Amino acid sequence: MTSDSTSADSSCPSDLVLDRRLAGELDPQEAARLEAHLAGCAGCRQRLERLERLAESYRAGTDLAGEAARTLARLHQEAESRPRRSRVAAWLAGVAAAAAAAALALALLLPSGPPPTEKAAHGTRLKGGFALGAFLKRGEEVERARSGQVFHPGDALRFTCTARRAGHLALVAVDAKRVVTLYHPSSAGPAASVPAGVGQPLPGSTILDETLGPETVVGVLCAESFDTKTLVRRGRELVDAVRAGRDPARWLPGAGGCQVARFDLDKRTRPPGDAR
Amino acid sequence: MSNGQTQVERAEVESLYRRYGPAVFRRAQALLGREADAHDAVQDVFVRVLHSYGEFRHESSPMTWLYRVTTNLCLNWLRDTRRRAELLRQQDPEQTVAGVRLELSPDVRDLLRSVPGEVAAAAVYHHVDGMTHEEIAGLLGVSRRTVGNLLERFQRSADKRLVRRDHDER
Repeated sequence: MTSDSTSADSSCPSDLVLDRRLAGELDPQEAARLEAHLAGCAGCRQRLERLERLAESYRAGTDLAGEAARTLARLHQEAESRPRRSRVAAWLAGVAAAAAAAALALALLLPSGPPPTEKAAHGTRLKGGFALGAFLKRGEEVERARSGQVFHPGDALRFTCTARRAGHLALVAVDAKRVVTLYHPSSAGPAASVPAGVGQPLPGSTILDETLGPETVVGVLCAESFDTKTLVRRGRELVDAVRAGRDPARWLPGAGGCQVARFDLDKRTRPPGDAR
Repeated sequence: MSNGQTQVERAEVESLYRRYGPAVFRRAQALLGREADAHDAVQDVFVRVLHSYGEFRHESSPMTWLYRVTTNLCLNWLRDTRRRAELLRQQDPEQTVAGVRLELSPDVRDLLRSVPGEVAAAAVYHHVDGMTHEEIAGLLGVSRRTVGNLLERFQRSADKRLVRRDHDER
Protein backbone atom coordinates (compact mmCIF):
# COMPACT_ATOMS: atom_id res chain seq x y z
CA MET A 1 0.00 0.00 0.00
CA THR A 2 1.18 3.56 -0.49
CA SER A 3 2.63 4.17 2.92
CA ASP A 4 3.21 7.87 2.29
CA SER A 5 -0.46 8.49 1.49
CA THR A 6 -1.88 6.68 4.48
CA SER A 7 -2.82 8.97 7.31
CA ALA A 8 -0.20 8.87 10.01
CA ASP A 9 -2.72 10.00 12.59
CA SER A 10 -6.45 9.47 12.73
CA SER A 11 -6.95 13.24 12.82
CA CYS A 12 -5.05 13.68 9.55
CA PRO A 13 -7.28 14.26 6.51
CA SER A 14 -7.64 11.50 3.92
CA ASP A 15 -6.46 11.84 0.32
CA LEU A 16 -10.10 12.45 -0.58
CA VAL A 17 -10.20 15.60 1.53
CA LEU A 18 -6.93 16.83 -0.01
CA ASP A 19 -8.20 16.04 -3.53
CA ARG A 20 -11.43 17.88 -2.79
CA ARG A 21 -9.41 20.89 -1.69
CA LEU A 22 -7.35 20.81 -4.88
CA ALA A 23 -10.58 20.62 -6.92
CA GLY A 24 -12.01 23.58 -4.98
CA GLU A 25 -14.86 21.52 -3.52
CA LEU A 26 -14.49 22.19 0.20
CA ASP A 27 -17.04 24.49 1.79
CA PRO A 28 -15.62 27.38 3.87
CA GLN A 29 -15.90 25.48 7.17
CA GLU A 30 -14.22 22.35 5.81
CA ALA A 31 -11.53 24.48 4.20
CA ALA A 32 -10.86 26.36 7.45
CA ARG A 33 -10.62 23.09 9.39
CA LEU A 34 -8.15 21.70 6.86
CA GLU A 35 -6.02 24.85 6.86
CA ALA A 36 -5.84 24.74 10.66
CA HIS A 37 -4.69 21.13 10.50
CA LEU A 38 -2.13 21.83 7.76
CA ALA A 39 -0.66 24.70 9.78
CA GLY A 40 0.30 22.24 12.51
CA CYS A 41 1.08 19.10 10.53
CA ALA A 42 4.20 19.01 8.37
CA GLY A 43 3.37 15.48 7.18
CA CYS A 44 0.07 16.56 5.68
CA ARG A 45 1.62 19.65 4.08
CA GLN A 46 4.05 17.31 2.35
CA ARG A 47 1.22 15.01 1.28
CA LEU A 48 -0.67 17.94 -0.21
CA GLU A 49 2.46 19.15 -2.03
CA ARG A 50 3.01 15.66 -3.39
CA LEU A 51 -0.57 15.48 -4.71
CA GLU A 52 -0.13 18.91 -6.31
CA ARG A 53 3.12 17.76 -7.94
CA LEU A 54 1.49 14.60 -9.25
CA ALA A 55 -1.44 16.62 -10.60
CA GLU A 56 0.85 19.03 -12.42
CA SER A 57 2.85 16.13 -13.80
CA TYR A 58 -0.35 14.48 -15.09
CA ARG A 59 -1.59 17.70 -16.72
CA ALA A 60 1.81 18.40 -18.30
CA GLY A 61 2.26 14.84 -19.55
CA THR A 62 -1.25 14.19 -20.89
CA ASP A 63 -2.86 15.49 -24.06
CA LEU A 64 -6.00 16.65 -22.26
CA ALA A 65 -7.69 17.98 -25.41
CA GLY A 66 -6.98 14.67 -27.16
CA GLU A 67 -8.33 12.66 -24.21
CA ALA A 68 -11.47 14.82 -24.17
CA ALA A 69 -12.01 14.28 -27.91
CA ARG A 70 -11.50 10.51 -27.58
CA THR A 71 -13.90 10.33 -24.63
CA LEU A 72 -16.58 12.20 -26.57
CA ALA A 73 -15.98 10.04 -29.63
CA ARG A 74 -16.54 6.91 -27.51
CA LEU A 75 -19.65 8.37 -25.96
CA HIS A 76 -21.13 9.21 -29.37
CA GLN A 77 -20.12 5.85 -30.79
CA GLU A 78 -21.88 4.05 -27.92
CA ALA A 79 -24.95 6.23 -28.36
CA GLU A 80 -25.13 5.37 -32.07
CA SER A 81 -24.43 1.67 -31.69
CA ARG A 82 -27.20 0.98 -29.20
CA PRO A 83 -30.54 2.64 -28.79
CA ARG A 84 -30.53 4.09 -25.31
CA ARG A 85 -33.40 3.54 -22.94
CA SER A 86 -35.66 6.46 -23.23
CA ARG A 87 -38.80 7.58 -21.58
CA VAL A 88 -41.46 7.55 -24.25
CA ALA A 89 -44.13 9.83 -23.02
CA ALA A 90 -45.50 9.52 -26.53
CA TRP A 91 -46.65 6.05 -25.68
CA LEU A 92 -49.67 7.57 -24.06
CA ALA A 93 -50.12 10.60 -26.28
CA GLY A 94 -48.76 11.10 -29.76
CA VAL A 95 -46.87 8.67 -31.91
CA ALA A 96 -48.28 5.43 -30.57
CA ALA A 97 -51.51 6.73 -29.17
CA ALA A 98 -53.60 3.79 -30.32
CA ALA A 99 -51.42 1.18 -28.73
CA ALA A 100 -51.15 3.28 -25.63
CA ALA A 101 -54.88 3.53 -25.35
CA ALA A 102 -55.03 -0.25 -25.68
CA ALA A 103 -52.52 -0.64 -22.86
CA LEU A 104 -54.39 1.72 -20.63
CA ALA A 105 -57.73 0.13 -21.45
CA LEU A 106 -56.27 -3.28 -20.76
CA ALA A 107 -54.98 -2.05 -17.42
CA LEU A 108 -58.36 -0.66 -16.46
CA LEU A 109 -60.31 -3.69 -17.67
CA LEU A 110 -58.15 -6.28 -16.00
CA PRO A 111 -59.83 -7.65 -12.93
CA SER A 112 -58.36 -6.19 -9.81
CA GLY A 113 -58.44 -9.72 -8.46
CA PRO A 114 -57.86 -10.97 -5.00
CA PRO A 115 -55.52 -9.07 -2.68
CA PRO A 116 -51.91 -9.59 -3.74
CA THR A 117 -50.40 -12.80 -2.51
CA GLU A 118 -46.76 -13.43 -1.65
CA LYS A 119 -46.08 -14.30 -5.30
CA ALA A 120 -48.10 -11.91 -7.37
CA ALA A 121 -48.98 -13.24 -10.81
CA HIS A 122 -47.09 -10.64 -12.80
CA GLY A 123 -44.24 -9.75 -10.53
CA THR A 124 -42.76 -10.80 -7.26
CA ARG A 125 -43.74 -9.06 -4.12
CA LEU A 126 -41.17 -9.29 -1.40
CA LYS A 127 -42.79 -7.46 1.43
CA GLY A 128 -46.30 -6.44 2.49
CA GLY A 129 -48.87 -5.36 -0.10
CA PHE A 130 -46.56 -4.07 -2.78
CA ALA A 131 -45.99 -5.64 -6.20
CA LEU A 132 -44.70 -4.66 -9.62
CA GLY A 133 -46.17 -5.71 -12.93
CA ALA A 134 -45.74 -4.61 -16.53
CA PHE A 135 -47.36 -4.37 -19.92
CA LEU A 136 -45.27 -5.25 -22.92
CA LYS A 137 -45.69 -3.47 -26.23
CA ARG A 138 -44.03 -5.36 -29.07
CA GLY A 139 -44.78 -3.98 -32.52
CA GLU A 140 -48.42 -3.03 -32.38
CA GLU A 141 -49.39 -5.64 -29.82
CA VAL A 142 -49.79 -4.93 -26.15
CA GLU A 143 -49.87 -7.76 -23.64
CA ARG A 144 -49.42 -8.29 -19.98
CA ALA A 145 -45.84 -9.28 -19.17
CA ARG A 146 -44.65 -11.73 -16.56
CA SER A 147 -41.61 -11.30 -14.36
CA GLY A 148 -38.80 -13.52 -15.66
CA GLN A 149 -40.12 -13.87 -19.22
CA VAL A 150 -38.02 -13.27 -22.34
CA PHE A 151 -37.84 -9.71 -23.66
CA HIS A 152 -36.08 -8.33 -26.73
CA PRO A 153 -34.20 -5.09 -27.40
CA GLY A 154 -36.68 -2.52 -28.64
CA ASP A 155 -39.58 -3.90 -26.56
CA ALA A 156 -41.47 -1.19 -24.72
CA LEU A 157 -42.41 -1.85 -21.11
CA ARG A 158 -44.93 0.01 -19.06
CA PHE A 159 -44.69 -0.85 -15.39
CA THR A 160 -47.63 -1.14 -13.05
CA CYS A 161 -47.72 -0.88 -9.30
CA THR A 162 -49.93 -2.54 -6.75
CA ALA A 163 -49.74 -0.76 -3.42
CA ARG A 164 -51.91 -1.34 -0.38
CA ARG A 165 -50.99 2.10 0.93
CA ALA A 166 -50.14 5.36 -0.85
CA GLY A 167 -46.44 6.23 -0.81
CA HIS A 168 -43.40 7.38 -2.72
CA LEU A 169 -42.12 5.13 -5.45
CA ALA A 170 -38.97 4.68 -7.54
CA LEU A 171 -37.88 1.86 -9.86
CA VAL A 172 -34.21 1.12 -10.33
CA ALA A 173 -32.76 -1.54 -12.65
CA VAL A 174 -29.41 -3.29 -12.96
CA ASP A 175 -28.65 -5.00 -16.27
CA ALA A 176 -26.21 -7.76 -17.19
CA LYS A 177 -23.44 -5.19 -17.63
CA ARG A 178 -24.12 -3.97 -14.08
CA VAL A 179 -25.36 -0.63 -15.40
CA VAL A 180 -27.82 1.04 -13.03
CA THR A 181 -30.78 2.85 -14.57
CA LEU A 182 -33.58 4.77 -12.92
CA TYR A 183 -36.81 3.58 -14.61
CA HIS A 184 -39.26 5.61 -12.61
CA PRO A 185 -39.68 8.51 -12.12
CA SER A 186 -38.29 9.66 -15.45
CA SER A 187 -35.66 11.98 -13.98
CA ALA A 188 -33.49 12.04 -10.88
CA GLY A 189 -34.92 13.88 -7.91
CA PRO A 190 -37.67 13.08 -5.45
CA ALA A 191 -39.47 9.74 -5.75
CA ALA A 192 -42.91 9.79 -7.43
CA SER A 193 -46.09 9.84 -5.35
CA VAL A 194 -48.33 6.86 -5.95
CA PRO A 195 -51.82 6.29 -4.55
CA ALA A 196 -53.02 2.98 -3.12
CA GLY A 197 -54.44 0.70 -5.82
CA VAL A 198 -54.05 -2.49 -7.80
CA GLY A 199 -52.20 -2.72 -11.14
CA GLN A 200 -51.88 1.02 -11.60
CA PRO A 201 -49.95 1.84 -14.81
CA LEU A 202 -47.05 4.19 -14.13
CA PRO A 203 -46.57 7.17 -16.45
CA GLY A 204 -44.18 6.76 -19.37
CA SER A 205 -42.64 3.63 -20.79
CA THR A 206 -39.18 2.17 -21.15
CA ILE A 207 -37.65 0.97 -24.41
CA LEU A 208 -35.25 -1.88 -23.73
CA ASP A 209 -31.74 -1.40 -25.03
CA GLU A 210 -29.34 -3.89 -26.64
CA THR A 211 -27.75 -5.15 -23.44
CA LEU A 212 -28.62 -8.84 -23.28
CA GLY A 213 -28.83 -11.09 -20.25
CA PRO A 214 -30.68 -10.95 -16.98
CA GLU A 215 -31.88 -7.59 -15.75
CA THR A 216 -33.66 -6.98 -12.46
CA VAL A 217 -35.95 -4.05 -11.76
CA VAL A 218 -36.48 -3.30 -8.10
CA GLY A 219 -39.32 -1.07 -6.95
CA VAL A 220 -38.96 0.81 -3.68
CA LEU A 221 -42.09 2.19 -2.04
CA CYS A 222 -41.58 4.30 1.05
CA ALA A 223 -43.95 6.04 3.41
CA GLU A 224 -41.83 9.20 3.20
CA SER A 225 -40.38 10.94 0.18
CA PHE A 226 -36.77 10.13 -0.72
CA ASP A 227 -34.14 11.20 -3.23
CA THR A 228 -33.81 8.80 -6.17
CA LYS A 229 -30.13 9.76 -6.50
CA THR A 230 -29.43 7.90 -3.25
CA LEU A 231 -31.24 4.89 -4.63
CA VAL A 232 -29.30 4.95 -7.90
CA ARG A 233 -26.02 5.25 -6.00
CA ARG A 234 -26.86 2.15 -3.99
CA GLY A 235 -28.61 0.47 -6.91
CA ARG A 236 -26.17 -2.39 -7.46
CA GLU A 237 -26.00 -3.33 -3.80
CA LEU A 238 -29.76 -3.08 -3.41
CA VAL A 239 -30.48 -5.23 -6.46
CA ASP A 240 -27.78 -7.74 -5.47
CA ALA A 241 -29.35 -8.07 -2.02
CA VAL A 242 -32.83 -8.57 -3.50
CA ARG A 243 -31.52 -11.11 -6.03
CA ALA A 244 -29.71 -13.03 -3.31
CA GLY A 245 -32.75 -12.99 -1.03
CA ARG A 246 -30.88 -10.97 1.59
CA ASP A 247 -32.52 -8.26 3.64
CA PRO A 248 -32.09 -5.09 1.52
CA ALA A 249 -32.89 -2.75 4.43
CA ARG A 250 -29.45 -1.17 4.66
CA TRP A 251 -29.55 -0.09 1.00
CA LEU A 252 -32.98 1.47 1.28
CA PRO A 253 -33.42 5.23 1.65
CA GLY A 254 -34.70 6.66 4.89
CA ALA A 255 -34.97 5.20 8.36
CA GLY A 256 -37.64 2.62 7.57
CA GLY A 257 -41.17 2.23 6.30
CA CYS A 258 -40.00 1.07 2.85
CA GLN A 259 -41.13 -1.98 0.89
CA VAL A 260 -39.45 -3.58 -2.10
CA ALA A 261 -40.71 -5.60 -5.07
CA ARG A 262 -38.83 -7.02 -8.03
CA PHE A 263 -39.49 -7.67 -11.71
CA ASP A 264 -37.02 -9.75 -13.73
CA LEU A 265 -36.23 -9.43 -17.41
CA ASP A 266 -34.53 -12.14 -19.43
CA LYS A 267 -33.20 -10.10 -22.35
CA ARG A 268 -32.37 -12.06 -25.49
CA THR A 269 -31.86 -11.22 -29.15
CA ARG A 270 -34.96 -11.01 -31.28
CA PRO A 271 -35.47 -14.25 -33.22
CA PRO A 272 -34.49 -13.97 -36.91
CA GLY A 273 -37.41 -12.96 -39.08
CA ASP A 274 -39.23 -11.21 -36.27
CA ALA A 275 -39.24 -7.67 -37.63
CA ARG A 276 -41.47 -6.18 -34.96
CA MET B 1 -24.48 16.04 -25.28
CA SER B 2 -25.42 16.01 -28.95
CA ASN B 3 -24.09 13.75 -31.64
CA GLY B 4 -20.97 15.13 -33.29
CA GLN B 5 -18.48 16.93 -31.13
CA THR B 6 -18.68 20.65 -30.75
CA GLN B 7 -16.00 23.02 -29.51
CA VAL B 8 -18.06 23.67 -26.40
CA GLU B 9 -18.33 19.95 -25.57
CA ARG B 10 -14.63 19.41 -26.04
CA ALA B 11 -13.75 22.41 -23.89
CA GLU B 12 -16.11 21.26 -21.15
CA VAL B 13 -14.78 17.70 -21.12
CA GLU B 14 -11.20 18.99 -21.24
CA SER B 15 -11.89 21.13 -18.17
CA LEU B 16 -13.26 18.03 -16.40
CA TYR B 17 -10.02 16.22 -17.22
CA ARG B 18 -7.97 19.15 -16.00
CA ARG B 19 -9.81 19.40 -12.71
CA TYR B 20 -10.50 15.78 -11.83
CA GLY B 21 -8.21 13.77 -14.13
CA PRO B 22 -5.13 13.91 -11.86
CA ALA B 23 -6.88 12.30 -8.87
CA VAL B 24 -8.63 9.67 -11.00
CA PHE B 25 -5.38 8.83 -12.79
CA ARG B 26 -3.31 8.68 -9.60
CA ARG B 27 -5.73 6.31 -7.90
CA ALA B 28 -6.20 4.18 -11.03
CA GLN B 29 -2.45 3.79 -11.35
CA ALA B 30 -2.07 2.92 -7.68
CA LEU B 31 -4.65 0.17 -8.12
CA LEU B 32 -3.78 -1.13 -11.59
CA GLY B 33 -0.04 -0.46 -11.76
CA ARG B 34 0.55 0.22 -15.44
CA GLU B 35 0.39 3.79 -16.67
CA ALA B 36 -1.34 2.79 -19.93
CA ASP B 37 -4.05 0.91 -17.99
CA ALA B 38 -4.52 3.90 -15.72
CA HIS B 39 -5.06 6.18 -18.76
CA ASP B 40 -7.63 3.69 -20.16
CA ALA B 41 -9.36 3.59 -16.77
CA VAL B 42 -9.51 7.40 -16.65
CA GLN B 43 -11.24 7.39 -20.01
CA ASP B 44 -13.74 4.75 -18.88
CA VAL B 45 -14.45 6.79 -15.77
CA PHE B 46 -15.08 9.96 -17.79
CA VAL B 47 -17.34 8.12 -20.24
CA ARG B 48 -19.39 7.13 -17.18
CA VAL B 49 -19.34 10.71 -15.97
CA LEU B 50 -20.78 11.86 -19.28
CA HIS B 51 -23.40 9.11 -19.26
CA SER B 52 -24.61 10.45 -15.89
CA TYR B 53 -23.65 14.06 -16.46
CA GLY B 54 -26.84 15.50 -14.95
CA GLU B 55 -26.35 13.50 -11.78
CA PHE B 56 -22.62 14.29 -11.70
CA ARG B 57 -23.15 18.03 -11.97
CA HIS B 58 -25.60 17.99 -9.09
CA GLU B 59 -23.37 15.99 -6.79
CA SER B 60 -22.35 18.00 -3.72
CA SER B 61 -18.90 16.44 -4.10
CA PRO B 62 -18.14 15.23 -7.64
CA MET B 63 -14.71 14.11 -6.36
CA THR B 64 -16.34 11.68 -3.92
CA TRP B 65 -18.50 10.32 -6.78
CA LEU B 66 -15.34 9.87 -8.86
CA TYR B 67 -13.55 8.06 -6.03
CA ARG B 68 -16.41 5.57 -5.88
CA VAL B 69 -16.62 5.03 -9.66
CA THR B 70 -12.83 4.74 -10.04
CA THR B 71 -12.55 2.23 -7.19
CA ASN B 72 -15.35 0.02 -8.51
CA LEU B 73 -14.07 0.17 -12.08
CA CYS B 74 -10.48 -0.69 -11.12
CA LEU B 75 -11.55 -3.52 -8.82
CA ASN B 76 -13.67 -4.91 -11.68
CA TRP B 77 -10.66 -4.71 -13.96
CA LEU B 78 -8.56 -6.60 -11.44
CA ARG B 79 -11.22 -9.31 -11.37
CA ASP B 80 -11.59 -9.50 -15.15
CA THR B 81 -9.71 -12.64 -16.20
CA ARG B 82 -8.69 -11.34 -19.60
CA ARG B 83 -7.41 -8.05 -18.23
CA ARG B 84 -5.76 -9.84 -15.32
CA ALA B 85 -3.64 -11.93 -17.70
CA GLU B 86 -2.69 -8.74 -19.53
CA LEU B 87 -1.83 -6.94 -16.29
CA LEU B 88 0.38 -9.80 -15.12
CA ARG B 89 2.08 -10.19 -18.49
CA GLN B 90 2.90 -6.53 -18.87
CA GLN B 91 3.60 -5.59 -15.28
CA ASP B 92 6.12 -2.77 -15.20
CA PRO B 93 9.07 -3.68 -13.00
CA GLU B 94 9.16 -0.15 -11.58
CA GLN B 95 5.93 1.79 -11.41
CA THR B 96 6.65 5.45 -11.03
CA VAL B 97 4.75 8.67 -11.42
CA ALA B 98 6.80 11.84 -11.33
CA GLY B 99 9.54 10.00 -9.51
CA VAL B 100 7.29 8.68 -6.74
CA ARG B 101 7.22 4.93 -6.51
CA LEU B 102 3.82 3.40 -6.01
CA GLU B 103 3.94 0.41 -3.75
CA LEU B 104 0.75 -1.51 -4.29
CA SER B 105 2.41 -4.85 -4.86
CA PRO B 106 1.09 -7.61 -7.17
CA ASP B 107 0.42 -9.58 -3.95
CA VAL B 108 -1.90 -6.89 -2.66
CA ARG B 109 -3.65 -6.66 -6.05
CA ASP B 110 -4.12 -10.40 -5.94
CA LEU B 111 -5.57 -10.12 -2.46
CA LEU B 112 -7.94 -7.33 -3.53
CA ARG B 113 -9.29 -9.45 -6.36
CA SER B 114 -9.78 -12.48 -4.14
CA VAL B 115 -11.98 -10.84 -1.50
CA PRO B 116 -15.63 -9.74 -1.96
CA GLY B 117 -16.07 -6.38 -3.71
CA GLU B 118 -17.27 -4.48 -0.67
CA VAL B 119 -14.33 -5.76 1.42
CA ALA B 120 -11.88 -4.76 -1.33
CA ALA B 121 -13.43 -1.30 -1.71
CA ALA B 122 -13.28 -0.68 2.06
CA ALA B 123 -9.63 -1.82 2.10
CA VAL B 124 -8.73 0.51 -0.78
CA TYR B 125 -10.42 3.50 0.87
CA HIS B 126 -8.72 2.81 4.17
CA HIS B 127 -5.25 1.65 3.19
CA VAL B 128 -4.71 3.51 -0.10
CA ASP B 129 -6.71 6.69 0.52
CA GLY B 130 -6.25 6.91 4.28
CA MET B 131 -9.95 7.38 4.97
CA THR B 132 -11.52 7.12 8.40
CA HIS B 133 -14.22 4.54 9.09
CA GLU B 134 -16.75 7.36 9.02
CA GLU B 135 -15.72 8.54 5.55
CA ILE B 136 -15.82 4.96 4.23
CA ALA B 137 -19.23 4.44 5.80
CA GLY B 138 -20.48 7.52 3.91
CA LEU B 139 -19.01 6.32 0.61
CA LEU B 140 -20.32 2.76 0.88
CA GLY B 141 -23.64 3.74 2.44
CA VAL B 142 -23.12 1.41 5.43
CA SER B 143 -22.65 1.87 9.17
CA ARG B 144 -19.24 2.50 10.77
CA ARG B 145 -19.53 -0.84 12.50
CA THR B 146 -19.96 -2.57 9.13
CA VAL B 147 -16.85 -0.78 7.87
CA GLY B 148 -14.95 -2.14 10.89
CA ASN B 149 -16.17 -5.65 10.05
CA LEU B 150 -15.22 -5.30 6.38
CA LEU B 151 -11.70 -4.15 7.28
CA GLU B 152 -11.34 -7.01 9.76
CA ARG B 153 -12.35 -9.46 7.05
CA PHE B 154 -9.73 -7.97 4.75
CA GLN B 155 -7.10 -8.21 7.47
CA ARG B 156 -7.96 -11.85 8.15
CA SER B 157 -7.64 -12.67 4.43
CA ALA B 158 -4.29 -10.86 4.34
CA ASP B 159 -3.04 -12.77 7.40
CA LYS B 160 -4.16 -16.10 5.95
CA ARG B 161 -2.39 -15.37 2.70
CA LEU B 162 0.79 -14.44 4.56
CA VAL B 163 0.69 -17.68 6.53
CA ARG B 164 0.09 -19.67 3.33
CA ARG B 165 2.96 -17.97 1.55
CA ASP B 166 5.33 -18.55 4.46
CA HIS B 167 4.32 -22.19 4.42
CA ASP B 168 4.87 -22.47 0.64
CA GLU B 169 8.27 -20.82 0.85
CA ARG B 170 9.54 -23.20 3.50
